[in-house]
Amino acid sequence: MQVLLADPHRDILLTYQKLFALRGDAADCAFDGTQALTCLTQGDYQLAIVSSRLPRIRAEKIIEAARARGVPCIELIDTHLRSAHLLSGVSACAFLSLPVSPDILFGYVDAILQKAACGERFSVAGVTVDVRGFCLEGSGIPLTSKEIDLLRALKDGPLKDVRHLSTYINALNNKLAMHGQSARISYVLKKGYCVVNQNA
Amino acid sequence: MRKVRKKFILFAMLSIFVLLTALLGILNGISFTRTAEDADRVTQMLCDGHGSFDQSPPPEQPQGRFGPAWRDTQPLRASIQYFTVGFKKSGDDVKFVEQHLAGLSEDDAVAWARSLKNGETGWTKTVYRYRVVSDDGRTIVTVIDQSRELLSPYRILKISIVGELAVLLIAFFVLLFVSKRLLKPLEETDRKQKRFIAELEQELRVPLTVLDAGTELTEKEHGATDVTRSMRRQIKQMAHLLRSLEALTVLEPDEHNASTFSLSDLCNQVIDTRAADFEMRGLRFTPHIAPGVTLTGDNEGMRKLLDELLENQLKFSTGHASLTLKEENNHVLLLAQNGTDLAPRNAEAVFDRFTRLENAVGHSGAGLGLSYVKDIVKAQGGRISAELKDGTFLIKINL
Repeated sequence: MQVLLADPHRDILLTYQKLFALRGDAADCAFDGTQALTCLTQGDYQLAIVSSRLPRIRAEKIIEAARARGVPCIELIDTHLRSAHLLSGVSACAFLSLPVSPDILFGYVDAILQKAACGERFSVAGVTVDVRGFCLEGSGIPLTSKEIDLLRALKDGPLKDVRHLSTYINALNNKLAMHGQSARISYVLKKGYCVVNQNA
Repeated sequence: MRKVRKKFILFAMLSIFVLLTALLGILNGISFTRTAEDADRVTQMLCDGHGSFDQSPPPEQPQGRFGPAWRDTQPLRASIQYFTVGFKKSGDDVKFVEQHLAGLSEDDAVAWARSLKNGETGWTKTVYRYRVVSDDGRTIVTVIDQSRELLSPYRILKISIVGELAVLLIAFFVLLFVSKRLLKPLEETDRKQKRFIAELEQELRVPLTVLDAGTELTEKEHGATDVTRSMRRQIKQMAHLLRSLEALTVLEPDEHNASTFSLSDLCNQVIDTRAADFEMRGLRFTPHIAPGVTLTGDNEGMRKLLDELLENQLKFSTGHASLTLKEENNHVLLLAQNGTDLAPRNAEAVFDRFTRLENAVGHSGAGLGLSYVKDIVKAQGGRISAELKDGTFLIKINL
């Protein structure tokens, strides 16, 4: 697998390049936005990990360019910007904030690659999810890997403890509203979080 | 910083008011005292002259507080209005009357003097000064009209009051302007401190990530050792410290944290999570959660708030607890109510840090839960209050 690592910090890039190498994956490093764009146009990548602090060209533009080439992206962002990024429609497949341990990062990498490799589509409450494209079918509204997992879990039944997923639930409800859907993820007393049709 | 500025202005105004009032009070006091002393000298002269002004100066010139006491009485006789009544020492029989007060009959003068006979000296009917002297088998009462002499002190008093009000008003506007400039360095320091904490938190993330990834790499290449395990533990601890720093900055209102979410759903979720705890404690819990109530703010902050409120009810409720959420006048109203055996009092102290009331004995905790709730409400721009009466403890939150 070929990975593009775009971050202004040399130490992070070189360490992660070695970690990817140990997994048998090749990783190219870009220290700024210009280098990252150049790599994208010249190389063939299965994944891009882009830092929000990339100089010269904003990370969102790099991510858009990568997605246009069918390359899923992970964005490394500041913690307090996570909600804003989830709602802003930036088409990264995951938003991680430093410090992220290699185990967690590679967990996300594997989950995203698995989704990107499958051609799965599923529907829940009238909404169709394009898993490979990481988006809501029809509208192209981007979804993150966690949001896809959440929708898949809700398809199977109500969820009780979603303590660490509440940000994604809010983001999903906003995206469903943008998509013009009447479905919402709501909490039903004694049942848990369900996808509920508001018109019902 | 606004609170600090308000306190500063209030304290400064109070100080100016107290100082000015004291100073002007002393000046006016001196003014009135001098008038009274002058009047006393005149009444003494009249009493000595048995109701009339004595021409000759006394053998020794008595000194008043502010200069020689005796002065030529010629101008006084012309300007002063007075009356003197001499009574026999025993009984009320009048020996003589010297009436030089316009508009007053002799009988009225005698009646007035009779009412003052048992006194010594002082003011009567506001502007009249009197003196009572007893000698040679008789009592002499002299009353002089000081209304003209009092004009000046009263004028000074009025000017003092108006002047003080004017000074206070000017001082207020000056303090408004000056306090902003004076407190600017403090505000700047406070802002820099917060920014420093936020930037420190951000800047520590990169080195920590590198250390974490480097340790992982070392373990993969050379195997885990005691050293690498120890490094992992330290990295975990530093990550925990970073989260605490993050919590310090996150409580500040920040548009990046804000999102619109369903508060009704959040309430229901937290209630469901704690339902089993209420059952286990044998407490009756009644939720009244209006559907469709949304809020723009910090979702995680509100979750923690609800958690703390329910935790507080679980610990200290006797019998019955309830949580109400509704919308009222474009505000979100959250009421947490529970039975209590505490005596009625001002319950606002529960929001102070490290405050534990008497019913907290036997329960764990440092008295921080409700102060944390207050911090979250303030960060959300809301208001919180507590009431304790008739065996019920109520927390009311307006968002």
